[in-house]
Amino acid sequence: MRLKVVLLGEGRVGKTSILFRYIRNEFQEKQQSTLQASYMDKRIKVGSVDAQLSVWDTAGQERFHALGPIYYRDADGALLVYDITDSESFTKVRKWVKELRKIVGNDINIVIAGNKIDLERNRQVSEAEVLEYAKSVGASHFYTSAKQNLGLEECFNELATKMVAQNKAKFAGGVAGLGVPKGGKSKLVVVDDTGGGKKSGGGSCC
Amino acid sequence: MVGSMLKEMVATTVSHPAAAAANLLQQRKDSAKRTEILKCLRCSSTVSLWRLRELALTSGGLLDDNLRMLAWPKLLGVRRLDCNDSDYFNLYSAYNAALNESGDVGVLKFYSRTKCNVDRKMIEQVKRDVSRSLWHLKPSESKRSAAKTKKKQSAVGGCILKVLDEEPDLNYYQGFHDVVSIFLITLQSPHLTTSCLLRTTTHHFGPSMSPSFAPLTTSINLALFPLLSLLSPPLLSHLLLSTVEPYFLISWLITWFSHDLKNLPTIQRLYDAFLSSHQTLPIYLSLTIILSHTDFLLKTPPDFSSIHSALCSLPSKINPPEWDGLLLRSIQIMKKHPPLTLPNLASTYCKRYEPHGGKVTSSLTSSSVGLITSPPSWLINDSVPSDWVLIKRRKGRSKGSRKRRKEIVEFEEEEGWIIARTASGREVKRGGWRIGRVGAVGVGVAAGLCVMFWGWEWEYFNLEYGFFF
Repeated sequence: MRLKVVLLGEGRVGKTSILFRYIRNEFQEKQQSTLQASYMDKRIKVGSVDAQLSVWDTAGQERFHALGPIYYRDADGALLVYDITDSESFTKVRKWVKELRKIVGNDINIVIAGNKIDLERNRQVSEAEVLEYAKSVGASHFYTSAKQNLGLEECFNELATKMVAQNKAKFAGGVAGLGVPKGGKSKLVVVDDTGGGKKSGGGSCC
Repeated sequence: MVGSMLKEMVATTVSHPAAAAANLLQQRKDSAKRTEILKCLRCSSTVSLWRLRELALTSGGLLDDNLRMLAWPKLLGVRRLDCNDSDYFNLYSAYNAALNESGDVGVLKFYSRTKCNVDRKMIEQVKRDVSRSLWHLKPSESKRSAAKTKKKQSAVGGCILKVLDEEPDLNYYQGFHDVVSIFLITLQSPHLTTSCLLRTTTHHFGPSMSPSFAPLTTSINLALFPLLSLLSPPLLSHLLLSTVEPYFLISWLITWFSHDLKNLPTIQRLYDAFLSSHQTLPIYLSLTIILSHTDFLLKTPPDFSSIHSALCSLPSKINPPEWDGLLLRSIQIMKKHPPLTLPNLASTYCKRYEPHGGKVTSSLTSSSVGLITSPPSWLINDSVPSDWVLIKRRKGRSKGSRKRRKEIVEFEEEEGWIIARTASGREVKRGGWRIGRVGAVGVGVAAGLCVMFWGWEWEYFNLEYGFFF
């Protein structure tokens, strides 16, 4: 099962660092600014399902957001990243939730990550506020640190579990003729299922 | 970097006689071109800009930093002699102070020390980008070079804020810091860098520096796919099948490839060409890069992710010597399909590929076409007075002013130094600013004298080495 995840958030909150740490277990103190969206793949196992995560990294500055929809329009999940030492970056998370709901719809799974937890002493975003907000939009919240490799596995696992559950439900719906998944995505799933050999997706699509 | 290139050269000389001969031929050609560029810049009373542009566009561009330092300002209509870095020390020491303090404190410090009017948010963004700039151009990182890089970063930050302050209509974008870094590394002087940037930002980078990228994306829409439909319909169909949009080349255009390439001489060579030509050349070059990898792209499966990453990886696949050919081809395409014909081409494209409307169709009706503006006078000037003439004029004006005359003598010495070094075609290890150079020469001479007085053998006294390092 192929799942598309998109990393969104303000500039310099650590999106690229999260991507590199999670996929390649690398960390660079002097990570260059991202100007061009790029993606990396990782195979993971969610319960009994083999899933291939395609994680897309995007540019943070606001003026690049106009180009964003081409990267997140068919995403299954979004990881919204903010920097716990920068309260403005959390305000951006709220904006992203609104935009994703508007453009992609309510289906998209959202997980919020408070990055740079190793800098806890400089924290500017209050925990209560974050948790309350996450609950209000039905998103999970994790604290992460790309530098110290904290919380990333949990964060992506949670997102993957949600996405897998949703995809299964969708395909079940597809068989019953209730809700057919989007054309582009079902094609991708077929390709992957031949390799993965998992039952649910293949049955519904062919 | 230069050292490793030399090593490579030596290695190829030893292993392949044919390659050695080719190398020798290339060196001779370069040396002849160097003389030619110098002749253009210095010998006549006026610098023929069309000749200089031709030299910058053809093989190898302007060849080395010393020549670029003289030529770039001429191409941009900037007077190098009017630049004085002493005014800039305050600016970047203020920037340094801002950089070291996080959040509002740093910004407020910056405001209090300069009369800068740049928006607080923009300063924050500049700080964020600059603090992680320049590193990608340095493969190894020693402690000393790290300190140097930090110093350069504060100069980069200072230059960016100065430009934004002088031109309040400009909007900073992530990636502009890469452009500024290349200008500063090449021109060395922050004042000269700022003056040159003020020219390029109002023209070449104008569409990128407007409040949004709309003028840029409109131009990309009108140029890329319509030109592809003419030059390689199979490739276009393949790209359309993958649903990729032409915005993957945004980082190439807004940084003139300096974000995607790691090789500084190659980047500078591209800058030579872009500074001497129409502002759409980067788009034509992007198109040529894509066309030159047609087979590779056609073999890539036509899904969005694969095609997108294949396209993004193209610039890093190109070997440094290949860029000359690519530039030549893009200029040929530009001649055949000049920028002014693009809207017509786009409307033909729309009829065939977008019968029910689409990005190109909406771009055709958009009012914000950025790239098809008429060039400013300095970009199409025939000639400008050479530095030599400007010095003479200054000399005439400044009779009696001892300080000014001293400045001129210093300048001539420095100029002579640059020219002598360049003409001999050797690699130069330059000090940072002018003061640095004078200091280095002073130390060299002092060391030489010490050696003489202490009666060392002459064979140990390598005057050249002692003098320049």
